[in-house]
Amino acid sequence: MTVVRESVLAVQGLRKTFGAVTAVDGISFEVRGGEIFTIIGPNGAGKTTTLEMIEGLQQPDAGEITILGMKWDRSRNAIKMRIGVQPQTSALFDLLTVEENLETFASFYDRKRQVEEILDYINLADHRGKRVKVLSGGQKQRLAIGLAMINDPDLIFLDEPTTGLDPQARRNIWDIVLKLRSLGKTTILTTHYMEEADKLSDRVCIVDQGRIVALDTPKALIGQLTREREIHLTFTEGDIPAAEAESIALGNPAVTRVKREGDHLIVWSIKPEETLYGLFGFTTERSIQVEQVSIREMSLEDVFIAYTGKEWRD
Amino acid sequence: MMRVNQWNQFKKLFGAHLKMMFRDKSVWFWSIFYPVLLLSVFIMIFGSSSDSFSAKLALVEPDKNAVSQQLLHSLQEIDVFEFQSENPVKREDAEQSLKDLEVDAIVILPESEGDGYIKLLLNKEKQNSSTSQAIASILNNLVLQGNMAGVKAEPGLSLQTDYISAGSEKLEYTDFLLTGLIALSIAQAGMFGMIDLVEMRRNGLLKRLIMTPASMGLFGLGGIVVRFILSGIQIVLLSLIGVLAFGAHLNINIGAFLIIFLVGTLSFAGIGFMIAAFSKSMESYFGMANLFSFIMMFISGIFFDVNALPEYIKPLAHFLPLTYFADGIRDGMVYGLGIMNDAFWLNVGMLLLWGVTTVLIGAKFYKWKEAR
Repeated sequence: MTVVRESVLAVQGLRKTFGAVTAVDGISFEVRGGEIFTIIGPNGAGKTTTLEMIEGLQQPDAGEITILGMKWDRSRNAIKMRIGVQPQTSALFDLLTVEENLETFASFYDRKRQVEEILDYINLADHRGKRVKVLSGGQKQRLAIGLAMINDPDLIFLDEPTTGLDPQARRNIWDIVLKLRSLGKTTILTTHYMEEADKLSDRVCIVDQGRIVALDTPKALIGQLTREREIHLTFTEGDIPAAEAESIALGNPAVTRVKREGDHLIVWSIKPEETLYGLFGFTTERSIQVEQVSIREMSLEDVFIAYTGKEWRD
Repeated sequence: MMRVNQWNQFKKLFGAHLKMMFRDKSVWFWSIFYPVLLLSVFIMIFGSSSDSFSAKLALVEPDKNAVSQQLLHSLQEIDVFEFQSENPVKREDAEQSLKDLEVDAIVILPESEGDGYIKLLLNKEKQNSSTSQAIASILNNLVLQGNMAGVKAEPGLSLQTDYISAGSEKLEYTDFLLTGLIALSIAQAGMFGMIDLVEMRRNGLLKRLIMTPASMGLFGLGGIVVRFILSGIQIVLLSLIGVLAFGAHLNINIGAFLIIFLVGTLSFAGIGFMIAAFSKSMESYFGMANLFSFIMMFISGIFFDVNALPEYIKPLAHFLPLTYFADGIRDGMVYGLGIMNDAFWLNVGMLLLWGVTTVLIGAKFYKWKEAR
């Protein structure tokens, strides 16, 4: 069988209002087979409403949703058979064991994976007999992802799978998500962590005030943001050499902005190599000692701030 | 294409409900241990002193005549009545005895054959006691019977039944309390048991299930079957303890009992569902369920008869579903009454009315997802 990179999910002109509030205001995108597609946005941007409409929990006021070539109003059950959802809240049978949860969910579907296989996959084989309520947060999240995989779905929704987890538990989840991609599954992910979006996503969709403000690969988003880089320099001999370096930097045509705080100089440049070459030429000539040099890379966080004008909060 | 096996799905969902119910320690405590504790405590406190109903009377016969003699004999045949003395006493002495609470009541026989009045004097302070009520009711039946005899009519079947159930059948408190507590524990299990709906909404499980192709009908059915199992356990356990440890008498009419059991279990689950629909949190659910349960516990004839309540509360007792459920359970378990009587249909009807109304209200207001 050949893998066709067809459209797994197509969303066209999605709109939803609650009273006077427009939660989703014309969102359109397409998700291709086998990719990890991440939706990020500030609280109240319309992420959850968008997801819930795609998952068939809410009826859109306008717009079309096509999942695996099917529509909710005509093929509700057929769509449910082929998607897997890990919701934000734990949503598990708390008094049932890990294995019993998986078996119960398995009974809902026509196509299913072996419980054994899932247990290995989410690394909970040793805890299969434990009741959910004694599991740690990370274990619960892994089980929730396991339940989303039990029907061997073609499209998986992971809604903030790592929120509230410690770094190790978060990395465990990342491994599972990347394994899903290696199986050729399509994943739609939301997250509060920019690092996560950057590491996992094939494409990132930034939503603000019910609209898509940017959609591309993380690399392209950062690349198209600006060429400007932030250079930090600290001088051993204090304020005077720093002030002299400041005036040199200001004379460089590639430099857009300079800021000095005592012996600490910050230079924004669209050609950081050229600017640094000029600055180090000056310091070498004058035998000025530079204690620290660094160039800050742009991240998705900067992309987020640039597009939404809002500070990112984890 | 493989089909989803509906039977297998039902088994899994039923199993999930069963485990959710019986792995929950609070279910064991509130639905099983607590009713047993109540039964034992109440029978130990009240059971022995009022094993069977009896009352002490003083007889006053102002003037011997045929009617008074006949009534005197009839009264002396009723074995729940004790008399201060074999022969009638003087009215003044009798009144003094009543004031001193040496007797429960005074019966003054008709002065002459044409008098037509039989007087019952009761202690004013105790006029609402169940003893006073029972004496009045027995005398009333006696008079009715006497009147029937007077007009040479055959006593009707209903009169006979009334007379027996009010007078000579052993109306033991143990039986009364046992059946009341069975009704109460099923009612409470229903009203408190719907907390799952609040919890499953809070943790998003309900929403999660809606996102699967699982049949919500089968899910609900699984829950209902498990409720019946719990109710069944409560009945068997309480009855066994009541009969074996406290000597309760059961006379069960299976048909009537099963119908009232089914309807009652469902109705109280319906009330629980309505409470769940109006509860945003577990705390508010328990608050409301406790309020309902507390009110019903004391005025629906669980621990003492509804007739012993003050007049102004009685209308409320006749409105609450537990009154009818307790009545129905008693009729079906102790009196062995079948389905061919008005009381049965009144009980079933009122429970159905409560069940249907609360389910409709619940369905209108229950939201399967948490409000944002």
